[in-house]
Amino acid sequence: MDPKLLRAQIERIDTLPTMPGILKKLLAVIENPKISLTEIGNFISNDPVLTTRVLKMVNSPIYGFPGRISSVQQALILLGLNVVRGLLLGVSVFEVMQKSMQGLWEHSLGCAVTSRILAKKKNIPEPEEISVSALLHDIGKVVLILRFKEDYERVVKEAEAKDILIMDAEKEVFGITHAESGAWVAKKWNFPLSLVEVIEYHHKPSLSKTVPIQSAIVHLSDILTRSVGFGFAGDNYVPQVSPAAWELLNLSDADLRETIDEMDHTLHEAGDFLIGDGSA
Amino acid sequence: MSKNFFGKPSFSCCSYDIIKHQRSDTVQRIPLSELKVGMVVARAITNESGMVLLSEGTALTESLIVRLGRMDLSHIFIRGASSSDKSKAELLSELDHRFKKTEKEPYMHIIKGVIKARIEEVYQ
Repeated sequence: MDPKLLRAQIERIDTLPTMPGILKKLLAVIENPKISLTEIGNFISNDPVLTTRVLKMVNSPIYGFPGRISSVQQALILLGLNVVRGLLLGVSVFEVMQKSMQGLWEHSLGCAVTSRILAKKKNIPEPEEISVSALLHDIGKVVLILRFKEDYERVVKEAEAKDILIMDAEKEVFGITHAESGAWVAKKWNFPLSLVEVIEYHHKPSLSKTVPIQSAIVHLSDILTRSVGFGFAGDNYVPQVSPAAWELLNLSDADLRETIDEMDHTLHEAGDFLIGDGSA
Repeated sequence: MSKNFFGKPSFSCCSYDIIKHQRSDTVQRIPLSELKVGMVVARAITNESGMVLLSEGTALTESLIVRLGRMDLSHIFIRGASSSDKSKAELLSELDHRFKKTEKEPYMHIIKGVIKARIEEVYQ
């Protein structure tokens, strides 16, 4: 497929007739570069379902804020516009996809949790931003499936038949991977460069110029989440960790042990989120 | 979407089983449709304002199950070991399988080693 054409088609994903109404409405708001904190706050607050989702997420063990965040405005002030936009998008996209992508949702949550843990270990400021980029790191898979369903079925078949990674099968079918398609939409939706880079380089974090450590953290989180067998990102095997990313993060055995321990505890407590909606 | 692309849930193959064994050996999450009389509630069920509707330790009766069915719940936590709980050998063999292709690559043995040690520790 011609990459330019592919990109144009992916960027116009919000015009797809099969696109669920709520996502269309949401994307229109998310895409507006001039949107203010107040406007987005009002948009979310006017929709009880969105409000519940955002508050449930920020108050869940996945984010682990001490004390309860009780309003959208409070979340916006504490977390910032980009984190709330990212959360809203992540939660809504997977809500729509819930049934067919429960495994990918779990994988994404697992990465979000793991990234926050690693970010804290490495004393990175704003661990929530890394966590939200981890939540969205595989958004390109969702986009490819939404836009090119039949082609993606070929990707899945090819990966199985040739016993290769989903990512490599994507390259064969589309000429690009979900990392590119994800970065394209993230740019289109006016997400900050840091988030775009993390999505684009989550397989090759050493290429990230502006946020190398953040990219390495999300990369390692992806590997660790697969290593413990949590969720399903499309592969039955754990891909190899980037040696450069591993060395950059320089975790001791004890760090790694503690990280895996904490992943287990947090994901256990986050039980409600793993099931999707419908729980009290 | 008809086709399940990434639909495979994680519960069958993951460290979730490890946690279950370590932290609360006997708690599992059961969908409402699979509740049976006599099952014991492992975590209190509350309404939106936090009021306890069913306290921990309550044994389910026919009428409680019917009433739970009317609530906006997808699952509850129940005491008792699950038949799907995996043995240590199963978890270790799944771990081997997942790492089959990459364990010889740089640093992968460290990651695998830490997870393996954890599984062994939990089952002691």
